[in-house]
Amino acid sequence: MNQDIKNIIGGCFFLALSIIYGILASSISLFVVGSSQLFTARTIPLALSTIGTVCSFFLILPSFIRILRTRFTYSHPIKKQEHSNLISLGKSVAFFLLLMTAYALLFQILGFIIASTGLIYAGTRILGERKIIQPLMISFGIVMGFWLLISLFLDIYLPSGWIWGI
Amino acid sequence: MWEGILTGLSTAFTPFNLLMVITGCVAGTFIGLLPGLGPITAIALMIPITFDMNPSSGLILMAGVYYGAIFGGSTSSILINAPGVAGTVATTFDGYPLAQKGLAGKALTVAAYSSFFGGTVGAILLFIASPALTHVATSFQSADYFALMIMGLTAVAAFSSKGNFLKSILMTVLGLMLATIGTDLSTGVQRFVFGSISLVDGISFLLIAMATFAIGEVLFNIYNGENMTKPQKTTMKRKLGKLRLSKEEFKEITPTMGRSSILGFLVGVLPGAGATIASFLAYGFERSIAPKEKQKKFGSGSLRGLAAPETANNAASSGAFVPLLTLGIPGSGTTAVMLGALLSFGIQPGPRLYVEHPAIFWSVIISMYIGNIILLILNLPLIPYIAKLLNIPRKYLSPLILFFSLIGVYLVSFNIFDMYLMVILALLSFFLRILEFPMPPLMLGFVLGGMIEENLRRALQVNNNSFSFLWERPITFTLLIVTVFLLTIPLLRRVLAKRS
Repeated sequence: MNQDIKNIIGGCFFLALSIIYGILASSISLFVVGSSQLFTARTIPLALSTIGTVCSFFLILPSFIRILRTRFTYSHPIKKQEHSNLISLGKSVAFFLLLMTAYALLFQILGFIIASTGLIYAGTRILGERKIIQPLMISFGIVMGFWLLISLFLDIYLPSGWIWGI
Repeated sequence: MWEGILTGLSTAFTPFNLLMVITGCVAGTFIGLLPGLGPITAIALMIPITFDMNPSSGLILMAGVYYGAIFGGSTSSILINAPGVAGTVATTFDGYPLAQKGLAGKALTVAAYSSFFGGTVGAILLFIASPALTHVATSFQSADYFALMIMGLTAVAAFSSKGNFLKSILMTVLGLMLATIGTDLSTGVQRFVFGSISLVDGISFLLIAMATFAIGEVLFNIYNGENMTKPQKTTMKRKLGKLRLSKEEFKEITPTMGRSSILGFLVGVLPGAGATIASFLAYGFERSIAPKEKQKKFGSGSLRGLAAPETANNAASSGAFVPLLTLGIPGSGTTAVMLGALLSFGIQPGPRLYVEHPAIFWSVIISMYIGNIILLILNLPLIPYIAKLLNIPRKYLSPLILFFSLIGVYLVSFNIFDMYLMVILALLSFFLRILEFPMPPLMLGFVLGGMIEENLRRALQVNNNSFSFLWERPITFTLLIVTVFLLTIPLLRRVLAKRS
């Protein structure tokens, strides 16, 4: 991706974030006693929103002008092969994010040991591991070792899964 | 005093107490390696174990665990970009790039030597100057702390090269924004919580560190990994590298360690400042005074950039014991736990501690130093084995980092909401990494954000809502002048270079 395009996308993201943050900051409810003071709970958020807006504007502007000057011509257009690679890599990242969400969802239902073994095993599968027994054994071994250390030795609570109590 | 020191020496060198230091260092290193279990947790876990011991042995064990956990935290920062505690965030800035370049062994060696050097200077200063330094600790006010935090922000400059200045500023702003989430402690007003109870206490440091550094890095590696050409993949695998430092490298880092240890110790003495600020300050300071060609290496694998925060955070950890032992004021979360431990032994820290319990006072200081020596002796031979962590195939290492990050965050709050929040922040971090936004300024802003706001508010209240404290208080004014100086050195150099 062209550096200028990256700057514009990033700048627009921060511009939107700063504006939304500023709007939310101005609606922070203040207590009557403190509202008349120079420094309130809104002061720093509003200052940050202003700085963010100004900086993102300055990040976007030069890149935007440069793109206009070059009339949208890129020196390295994305090739078809490169494009399909990016899509498949993006898919792996998306699967990892989904895996993390699923882990959070199932953590208390299935319990620490099963959910964690599943997380590590599924992670290895996403990254191209085709064997079944070896990664499963490794995942289970690591999780059990961690469970022994945390739960038995250090006496820290880890959920055992409420599904097994039904 | 000398009688007390001799008593302390004889106590610290008993076989049982030496065994306690070794046990503490080993246990601390392994606990520190696990994300979510930093020095505070490590010491807290030791309290029940030390109940039956005599106070000296108990405290000696805790001192060993403390140093071990700090070193363990640095190791995970260098090898897998997962800073388990705020004090080791700055270690990732150059430690992880070194590991990526195939110099993990060297990076760990520098970390071990720097930690030892910082700990040694810290222990010596603690030994000779602790009563005198209590005055420094008490003379700092909110205005001075505010100036000190602003000085800490100068480290952002290290990531502003190659047209990244605005991106670094924006990432710092994002970090500061994230720090405002939760209850404003001074007024009790809730900010940006969107009705969620889980956000009332704000977002934990560990959550942000793991989401943006560890998981962000994993996702980014997956995204980049399959694009790699074969030669690149070979270099990624050969990550151990040499362990020995050359004479030139030693020469390069020795002055850095000297400067950073004194700076770190002095910052550590200030209650509330601690190892995090010390490491950021040392990093920023070292970058500012580095020659132009060395300056460019900061953030992409500079040995000086690694030695500075590593030395400073260890020296600061020793410095944090000054207000604890001499005033009874815990300067950091870890020393607060230590205070609890001291009280549980029936010892009240304060000005009379080294008069009433000289054996305890001096044996703790001496064993902290012994802990440093043992840590160096234990860890240097262990480095090749620790660094082998990197030889684990990516398809196993990445899911393991994911697992340890998620469970580490859960172990801090025991709240599933934090895991969901982590997914969102990891996605955000991945998106920003693709757009080439640097991550360290975000952590810098987040860590310093709350303290900057709090101290500015207090300073304004004390000064009747006037900003005059910025130029009226000598310490504040000096710190701000130093900040301006640190920021303008690179500019001045550039101007001078152009003229010549």
